[in-house]
Order: sequence, then structure tokens, then C-alpha cells
Amino acid sequence: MIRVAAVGDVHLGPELAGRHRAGLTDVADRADVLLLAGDLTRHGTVAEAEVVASEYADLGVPVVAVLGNHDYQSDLEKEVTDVLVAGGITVLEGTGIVLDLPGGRLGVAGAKGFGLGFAGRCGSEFGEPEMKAFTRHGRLSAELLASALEDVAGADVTVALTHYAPVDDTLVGEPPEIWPFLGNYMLGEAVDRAGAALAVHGHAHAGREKGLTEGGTRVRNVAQPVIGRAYAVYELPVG
Amino acid sequence: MGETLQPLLEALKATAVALKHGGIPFALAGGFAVYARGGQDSRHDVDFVVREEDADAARKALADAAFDVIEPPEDWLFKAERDGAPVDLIFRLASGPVDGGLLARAETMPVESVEMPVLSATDLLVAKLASLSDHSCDLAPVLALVRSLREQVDVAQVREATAGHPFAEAALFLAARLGVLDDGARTTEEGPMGEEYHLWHVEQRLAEDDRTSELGVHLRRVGDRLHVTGQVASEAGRSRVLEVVRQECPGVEVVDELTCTDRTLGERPEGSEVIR
Repeated sequence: MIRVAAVGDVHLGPELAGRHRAGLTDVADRADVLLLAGDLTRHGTVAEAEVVASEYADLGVPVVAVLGNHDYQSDLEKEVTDVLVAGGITVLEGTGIVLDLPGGRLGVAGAKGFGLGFAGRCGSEFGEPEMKAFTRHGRLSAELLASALEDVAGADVTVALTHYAPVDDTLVGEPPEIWPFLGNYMLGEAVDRAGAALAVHGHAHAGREKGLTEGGTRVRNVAQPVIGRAYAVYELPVG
Repeated sequence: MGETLQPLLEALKATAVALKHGGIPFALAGGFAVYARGGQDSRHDVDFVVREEDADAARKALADAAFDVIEPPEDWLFKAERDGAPVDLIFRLASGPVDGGLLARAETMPVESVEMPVLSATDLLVAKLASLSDHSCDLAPVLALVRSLREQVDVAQVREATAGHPFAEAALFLAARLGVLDDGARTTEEGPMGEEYHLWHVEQRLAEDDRTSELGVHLRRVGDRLHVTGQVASEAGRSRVLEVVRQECPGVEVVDELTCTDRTLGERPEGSEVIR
């Protein structure tokens, strides 16, 4: 059994320093790893990233993150990533990591993901260059996740970690008009093709926690406003 | 929806064809007429209007087209049924008897690829309003109809035709008060429409302004007050949102209905979920 703690959309900044950490101090007693599903900052500044790094420092479990759209807001995603990595956080974007945990080898495949929409209501690469670019970025986001999942193919159990949603089940509660901005079905397809045990995402603050991919993989929206806790814990059977 | 609608659509088309062949003046009325005009209304019943003096000829034309003609106790319509799908043929609407003027105002248009006269939007609204009573005064479908057909409706005629009918006046008052009905009294600069666009721009600004960066805040004007709803990340975020809103919408009373998500940031989970 591997215990996976996860949270997204904490939107930390100097004014919240210490508030989140108060709920994290004994995470090592409750979980073997902590996953962060993006939107760790409000504006993607270095100062905010420093708060994130100290909030998750020395928790006694590996911390693995993807960035979210907010973390790109200041065009400083590389600098934000550097600050998090210097603080001991593993940041994934189209890459994976296999963690040797007491319960087994956990593969975490991470990518920010992107919008584009879900089956039958999805953008396509047609028309204006901006529409084509939007669509291409959505497709690329899924290719990055697929390639990250390949990276961890040898693990005992695999979790897909994104900021954007791989299914629309977990978006119920958000206005359907904005679903194309909240995720895309190709992320879910990548999860199913790789046979991951769990897909964790954030981004949809007004959505709900639980959903399923077409192929039956459990999907959990761990956006902090959705789970209403410092993090949620999922236990994954091994073997 | 499609399964239950199809028999009604078949009966609708067959009725129109039979009446056309019989040379009987008629028009499509009710929810299907609203729908044919691109409006929103229920499509539970297929309604046609014919003049009372043509009712017998219409009965014969429909019987010849393999419809069962049924005489209900009401004295303002008869019914025809084919393959289990009923059609109402009305010769007296709540707004008055079906006459040549009403039928002349109908416009011919294709409905499910059959050309047929369809009552004018103004007459459809007048009939709907006139049918309101103290036993049937749900205004929600009426407002939906007004909203969806407002471009096609002659408001002055509707007011004249329904003057003195308390439920119709109440519905029109409400429609005007909600800005659903264009009475020609509104100006684009100061009216509700201009305000709506302004509020939508302010919502976008709340997402884009570095002071706020809040993507989940909504603004809603109710009377003289501006309700600010949605989620913000912190108490400081709440005051920055309200600051931007007050700055962008001066002179309006702002009602803070924001919820703050940071209260649970430090709360430990109560248990865990086993993923199978």
C-alpha cells in the first residue's frame, strides 16, 4: 500500500506564509509522498515561490509538483521552478519520477496540461493562427503527459499528476461554458493508455473531487477549495 | 426528448398538409409556432388555429387524411389524433376568436421542411399572455418566450391587445423591469445593457489585475446594489477585490458575498480513501 497525499491550487503568497504549513507538519505520519497539482502561487513571482518552498520544506516525505497557469502569470516559470527545486521539491513537466517508497515503487508522471475541451465539444486546429496555437498547445500538453507516463513505465503503481483536468466528471459545479478552459480529453486518453492507477488534478475550484476516465481510472480533483483540507490522502494497493 | 417529439412532429406535418390540400385557411400556433420562430416554449401540444366557420371543413380534411376527430367538452377547439399523437385545432384563443386578420398576419415559413403559415410573434405573445389566469400564472415560461422572441414582437401592439388583463400587465411589467422587453425607452449608454457590459469587463479586470488575479469572482446587479460573489484566496484578496470593484463601479452599494478559501488551508485531513 502506498499512501499518496495531494493538494493543488493553494495560491500561496507572503500574506499566507505559515498558514498552510500548520496543516502539513505531520504529513509524514499520514502519507508516503505529497503531490502538488499546480497553482502553487498567485502570480508566479519569485517571492511567492519562496513562500511555497518554505511551506513544503523538510516535511519528511518526497514532494512532487507540477505548475499551474497562475505559476506562469509572470513569465517566470523557469525561475519559479528553480526556487522550488532548490527547496527540495521535484517539479515535473512532461517528465516522470519513480520513488522508492516503503510500500513499493511509485511512478509519478507530471505535466501542467492545458484546456481545449472534452469529447464532442473540443477546439480543433482550424481557422485563425491563435485558434491553431491554442489547439496545438492543448495537444502538446497531452503528448507531454504521455511521454511522462512512458518515463515511469517500470514502476509498481503509477499516478498521473496534472493541473488541468483529464475528464469532465470532476468539473461538475463549474459552468459548462468554461469547461474547454479547464482541461481536455486527450489528457484522459494518455492516462488510460498508460494504465495509471490514479489521476490527480486541480484547477477547477468549483468542481467536485471524484471522477473516472473512460477506461475506469479514478480521477481526483484536489483543488484546495474542493477538498477543503490541507491535502487529501489516497491509498494505492500495490501488486 | 427526440423520441417523444417525433410522433408530434409527424402529426404536425400531416395536419398542415391535410389543411393545405383542403384549401382551409389555418396557421400553426402555440409552442411549436414559437419554436419555429426560433423562440423558447414548451412543445407538449401541437396547436393549430382555424376560423370557426372553417371548423367543419377542417374536420373533414383531417378525417380524409386518416386522423380520428375527437370532440372534447370545451367549445373552443376540436382534437384530431393520428398514430397516438394528438393535435389541437383551435377556433377561439384566450385572446379572442380566430379571424381573417389573425391568419393574414401569419407568415409562411418552413417547419420541419413543410411550408406552412405560422402565427406572428406578436399574436403568439398576446395569446400566451391572455391565457394567464389565477389558476395558471407561472411567469417563467412567459418571460422565456418574451426574451427569445423580443426582436420579432411589436410591444405597443402587445400592450394594446392585453390592456386591462391583470396577469398580462404583470408579466409585461416584470419583463420591462428585468430589461427583457425593449420598450424603446432605454438608452444604450445609461440603460441596463451598457451596465451589463461594464460589469463583464470588470469581471475580466479582476482576473487580469495583478492586485487581484481572481478568476472566480462574479458581479450581479440587483436593483441599486451590486452583489460580489465567488471565491477569493484570502481575506487580503477579499479587500483587494472589493477595492477594485468600488473603484470601477463608483456610487453603487457593493454587497460582499465572497467566500474565502484559505480557512481550510491548514486543516488536516480526517482520513484517507482507498483507491481500488
